[in-house]
Amino acid sequence: MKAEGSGIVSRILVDAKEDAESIIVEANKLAEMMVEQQKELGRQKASERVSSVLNDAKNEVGLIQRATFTQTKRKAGWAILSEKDRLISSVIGEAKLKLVDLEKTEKYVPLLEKLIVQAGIVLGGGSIQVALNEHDSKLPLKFDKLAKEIEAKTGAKTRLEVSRERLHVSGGVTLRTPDGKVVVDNTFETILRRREIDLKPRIAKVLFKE
Amino acid sequence: MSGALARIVEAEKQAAEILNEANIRAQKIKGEAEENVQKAFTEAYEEAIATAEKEAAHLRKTARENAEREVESALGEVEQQIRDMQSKARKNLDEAANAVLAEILLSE
Repeated sequence: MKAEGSGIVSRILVDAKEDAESIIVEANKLAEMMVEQQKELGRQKASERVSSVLNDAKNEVGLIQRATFTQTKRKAGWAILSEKDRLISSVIGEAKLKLVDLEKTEKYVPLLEKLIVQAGIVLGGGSIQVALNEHDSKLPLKFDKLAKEIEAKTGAKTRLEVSRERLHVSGGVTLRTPDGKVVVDNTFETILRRREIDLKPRIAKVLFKE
Repeated sequence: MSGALARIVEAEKQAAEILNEANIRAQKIKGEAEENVQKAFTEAYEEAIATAEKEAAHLRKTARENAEREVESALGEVEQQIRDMQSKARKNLDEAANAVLAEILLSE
């Protein structure tokens, strides 16, 4: 009877301990579940803001890409154009040097005379003053013959008079009416400047060919 | 009451105490969990946003780095194009200047 009683006692205590342990385990599980549920709720609540943060970043990435593309294209285009322009201008400079060199050749006087006649025709003949640089003023220009050529083209009696004024240009000529109201500038500098815009495409064609 | 019965009654009393203690502890665990749920919610919320912000910063940084690389590469190509242009220009300068001269002498 004593041994039997002792067995029941230990059974009661073991069962109680097992039940107690189970109560604690369940409580821990429930606690863990409550915390996990709240974590999940927290993540769900954050999801809207998370989407917004990521979308903003993706939009910004798109903007960065487009801005970079545009800026790079513009910079590249500008760099190429600016260098092209510089190289084309160097051709104009070189052409000016060649024009100056031309004055040392026999082609120069006929060229100067041609420029005088052209300007004289533009002025419509009449009394015309011809301004030259120091070097050109000493050249043997046949003004009477040139005046006749202008006369023949314009029908107006023409007289060319060399001005005392000396031009500070590399070459060419300036013609004006005696009152100075109408001037035709056929100096090399002005001719090149006048023709620069329409010469540029032709220069580019020759300059950048293979 | 016999000795055995008394031991059983005593054991049942002990068992009840054990269960009572377990219930008290379980209540405490639940109570603590209830106190922690708000913290868990806030932490999870903030962590999710912090992760997204970190990812967003990474996206922006990568985009900027890629953009810088693209710019460098494009400008490198432009520099090469310019060198090619300069090389052609050096070769053709005299011919181009003569063409200008011819144009002017013919038309002026």
